[in-house]
Amino acid sequence: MRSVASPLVEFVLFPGQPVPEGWPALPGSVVRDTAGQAVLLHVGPLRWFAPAAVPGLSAAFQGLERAGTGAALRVDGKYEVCDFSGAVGARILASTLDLAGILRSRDCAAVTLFDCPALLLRESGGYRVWVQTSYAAHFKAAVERAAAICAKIRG
Amino acid sequence: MNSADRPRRRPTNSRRAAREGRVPVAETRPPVPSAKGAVEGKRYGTRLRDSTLTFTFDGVRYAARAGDTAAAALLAAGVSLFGRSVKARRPRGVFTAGPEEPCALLTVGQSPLVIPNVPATTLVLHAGMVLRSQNRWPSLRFDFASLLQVGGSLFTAGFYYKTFFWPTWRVFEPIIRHLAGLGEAPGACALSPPAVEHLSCDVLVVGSGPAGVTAALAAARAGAIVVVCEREPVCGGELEFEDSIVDGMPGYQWLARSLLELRTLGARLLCNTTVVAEAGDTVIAHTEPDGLPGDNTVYRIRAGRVLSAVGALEQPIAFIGNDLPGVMLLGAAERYAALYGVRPRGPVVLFGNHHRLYAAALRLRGLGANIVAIVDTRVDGELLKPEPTAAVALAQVAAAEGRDAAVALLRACGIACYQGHTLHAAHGWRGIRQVRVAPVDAPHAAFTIDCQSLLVSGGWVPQRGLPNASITGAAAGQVDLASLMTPAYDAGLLAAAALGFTVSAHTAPEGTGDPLPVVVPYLRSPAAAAEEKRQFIDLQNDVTVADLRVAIAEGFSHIEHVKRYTTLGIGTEQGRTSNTLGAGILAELRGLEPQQAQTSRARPPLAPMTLNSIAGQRTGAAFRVSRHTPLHDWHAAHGGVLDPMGLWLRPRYYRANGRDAGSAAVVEAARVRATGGIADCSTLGKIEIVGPDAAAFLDEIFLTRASALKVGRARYMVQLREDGLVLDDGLLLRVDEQRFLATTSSSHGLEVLSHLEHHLASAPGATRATTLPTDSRGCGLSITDVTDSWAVIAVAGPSSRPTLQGLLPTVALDRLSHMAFIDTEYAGHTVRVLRAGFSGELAFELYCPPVLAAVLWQALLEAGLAPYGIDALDILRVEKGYLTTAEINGQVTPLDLGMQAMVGQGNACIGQTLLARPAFHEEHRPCLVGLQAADGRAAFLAGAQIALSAGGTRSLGYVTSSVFSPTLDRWVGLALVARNHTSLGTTLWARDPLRGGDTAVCVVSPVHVDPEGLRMKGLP
Repeated sequence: MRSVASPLVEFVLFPGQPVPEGWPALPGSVVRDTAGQAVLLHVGPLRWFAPAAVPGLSAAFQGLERAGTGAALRVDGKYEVCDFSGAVGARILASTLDLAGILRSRDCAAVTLFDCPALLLRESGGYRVWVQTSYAAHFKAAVERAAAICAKIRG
Repeated sequence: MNSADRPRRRPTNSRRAAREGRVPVAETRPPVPSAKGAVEGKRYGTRLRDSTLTFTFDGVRYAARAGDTAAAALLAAGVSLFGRSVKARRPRGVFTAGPEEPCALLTVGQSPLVIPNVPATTLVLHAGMVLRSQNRWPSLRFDFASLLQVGGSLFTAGFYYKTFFWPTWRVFEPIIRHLAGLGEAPGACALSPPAVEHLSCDVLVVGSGPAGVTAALAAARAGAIVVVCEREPVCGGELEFEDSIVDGMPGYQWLARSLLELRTLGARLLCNTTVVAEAGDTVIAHTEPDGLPGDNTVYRIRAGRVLSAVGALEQPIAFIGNDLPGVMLLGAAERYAALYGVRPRGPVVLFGNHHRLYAAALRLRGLGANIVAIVDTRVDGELLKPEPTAAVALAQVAAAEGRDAAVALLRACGIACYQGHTLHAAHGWRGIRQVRVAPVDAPHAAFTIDCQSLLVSGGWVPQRGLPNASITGAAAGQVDLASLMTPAYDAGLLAAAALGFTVSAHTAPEGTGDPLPVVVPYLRSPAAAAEEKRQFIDLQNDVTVADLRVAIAEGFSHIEHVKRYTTLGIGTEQGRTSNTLGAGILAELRGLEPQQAQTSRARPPLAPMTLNSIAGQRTGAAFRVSRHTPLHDWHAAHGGVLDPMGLWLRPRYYRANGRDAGSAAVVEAARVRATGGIADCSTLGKIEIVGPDAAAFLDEIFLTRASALKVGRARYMVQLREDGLVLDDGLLLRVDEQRFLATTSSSHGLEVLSHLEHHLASAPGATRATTLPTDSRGCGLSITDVTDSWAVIAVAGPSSRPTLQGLLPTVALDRLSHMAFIDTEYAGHTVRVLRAGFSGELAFELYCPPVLAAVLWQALLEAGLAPYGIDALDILRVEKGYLTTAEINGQVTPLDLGMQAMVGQGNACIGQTLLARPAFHEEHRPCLVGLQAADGRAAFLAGAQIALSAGGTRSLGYVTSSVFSPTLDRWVGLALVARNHTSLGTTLWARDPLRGGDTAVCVVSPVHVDPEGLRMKGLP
């Protein structure tokens, strides 16, 4: 688990407002930069999550706020992040969630993992998880426990 | 004749071998050149591997082959006694070959790490395993408690409701507790947490016999994602060993090919996996590798469609002495022969009511079993039908040539056939020795047949599976291969088509095997009333036909009542070998038609599973999620005693301040009042409400108008539920015109968030007065939980301001008025300084990013402030009459809590309408008051009931909070008391008979300390 560098923003679009052009419009869709890094995640109804500072995005948020289209919430410190790679990582996450059933055609979702509220992102080769900070210690212990049990069963 | 001349009893092979130190050699397996073999084309020992191992059973070492189950290995070694029944401690052998085994239950391991009640029939042996029989003392062969059988009729159904009254139950209780139950509870848990796996599929097939494999193939070929759960170690069911031809090849070859095709199509085959329950749209299954709990996996499977192909269970027939060791289900004997190469011992008699008895007899004889007789209750039933394989070639010929040829063939094999006969009784002591047979219509013409094994088959009943699954195969009554394959294939296609998958061009396989049996129902042999107490229905719990009669005579006639009164079917086999038989005999005894028989309801788990599996990984520290504040590590490292409060772990007190919570809290609270202190308040819920409609929305939410709040100010606010009762309280900060930050109590954060989100999205209701459009479209508003984005540090006490000023020199704290806040910078981060507190002292709350919390905390410590915990905070707030969830208990209105002024502002908010109902204004409504001990010294505790007099039994309310006040040097508290008894100075009694007795208390103002609020204002 590691802290997430600020700024961390959740943007909420007010009801009835159009989704800005270029944003991931479908539920669970993601916009990535040219390096494949997730820039904007559609994680909930009218709610997007920006996990990292991206040139121009902050200005876009401010413009939308000024236009009365939505609200940008700085949530620095709200999450810690953890990566799960390969079949082993997927198997650990499957201890707490039906990955295929939940994600299906989506690339991201707001979920509960090991009883902790989290955001889940499908990456190439694995998954990235943002867990709310106050739950991070419990989440880490649960992941380690699940990993040990899975390794023992496999072995 | 002296003792030297008396013939010595010849010891069994196993006992002699044990004395001689040799490992006994299996004596009942056919001689084999290798682990697996074939006789006349019939395969046997298919589950065995070449290597051998040893294990112990009741202290005696035995040999086995790898792949053996404990039952198979012990049967092969000549063991017939496996355990004792629950109530009467009667000797028990092996009755089945599967998890439905009622008798042969073993304890695995050695104290204290034991696993009890493991069926020997499913326990796959490992080298060195230590096994023990159960429910016997001092030994299995001689059990002292079996003398209870002498008392025979004393132990009828429900005897424990009618006996053991004199002189008192307590005399008998310890004895009965010692005798009751089955198996030894482990002294230490030997099981590691299971792995858990969530998965989803299109079609889940439960059972992998011919119907299950066929259905899975159909669905997989149509493109569906298929998962198959099979409780056995290998897939295939009867295809593994029964004579069958499918699509022109032996059944086991077709099975291997089909399983390969399934895997190629991406199907997942989970063996050793038993489906135990469904919860909503999730099917729960668990593995027990080698039949032993532990190192297992629990699956939670979401499937688009579920097909149940769980097969049928062979049924017993009740007759006198049917519980003797050596009596076994016919199908079980065939499985032991086919899978483990074990033939039944000694002369063997078969008893049943269908034609498959005859083919089975010839098959077993082919493996060397000494079949001496077949007792068939049918008068003119068929004997043999054409067999699909050459395994019983003679039978083919006989079947073609007719009945007389068949009888002649059987006689030539030494098998006497008694059609139209029934088996009245089995005789023996620790094992069967003889059976008594008579014509059905001439019971007086009985004769005996010596035997050591009796194989019984009363037909089949479908196994119960998941209630919401589609059923196919033998579970749907199709017990022969020829009739089940097409419907099973169609079931698979239908399941896939329902999910949108295209039906494939393949056709259903065609199979032939054991022909469809015509079963003539036969539940029990005739018996005199006195003998019915030895006709067993439930072998584990010793429930007999006589017990059913007793239950009926005593008014219990419904199967659910009979089950509970007699304990029929409540054992580890969950009624699989007793439920249907019991239901049928009950109907017979009640004079009902057979079709009126009802079985009892099956409830999950459908198969026994350990609590370990049910708990999954939620044990120990993982039992319940816990939340940590950003300062958690500091508290833990510096003597903070962390206790769960809701989901949060919070420091109750710090060890340096006292040896227990009580003394430490007093020290910490006194220090805050004297100088100052700091507390971690990061657990407060924090919700940000942003948008042009935020103020109007919050006017609906809170008791007083949020829109009147100025930017840079905070206010104490109260929220009501729709019914007018108080939901929560907290502070509301106005950050700018369109941005608010609401705090909630630590335990109500998620509830308040849910309340706000509900009212943002919901339709209008009678209790909702709103100026917003009822349609949420056009509503410029967002609600976001930011609890974890802010750490909160309370700085309280006389030195709070000068101390803080030293850290924040650019902020004019002396000009920051009460309930005002300002954002500033510290160490490169934004810090919001709010002048407010929960202690009644001059206080500030610092809102900072979590990454800054530890730095800021340390700086405050170095500046001379000391931490105080939650218990100290409680003292401070009770002294001031501030409220927590102890008072805001979900049952009080704002009027009860003395908030008349807030209510009087008349804000049209949620809950306001129902707050006006007359019931909330009655004179006995609770009213918040302060309490102090009348003598100024006595203690009284939260939870004590308030009464008018010492010993009074009418409660007027209760003490919600009480603390020892270091400021006043006495116990003080808050209480909710009936309004008409709350005049100041009234003497009441705090009744607490369980903890301290009665204490006289005086009604005082809830504000015990500094009622003018001078300390909060920073005034001397």
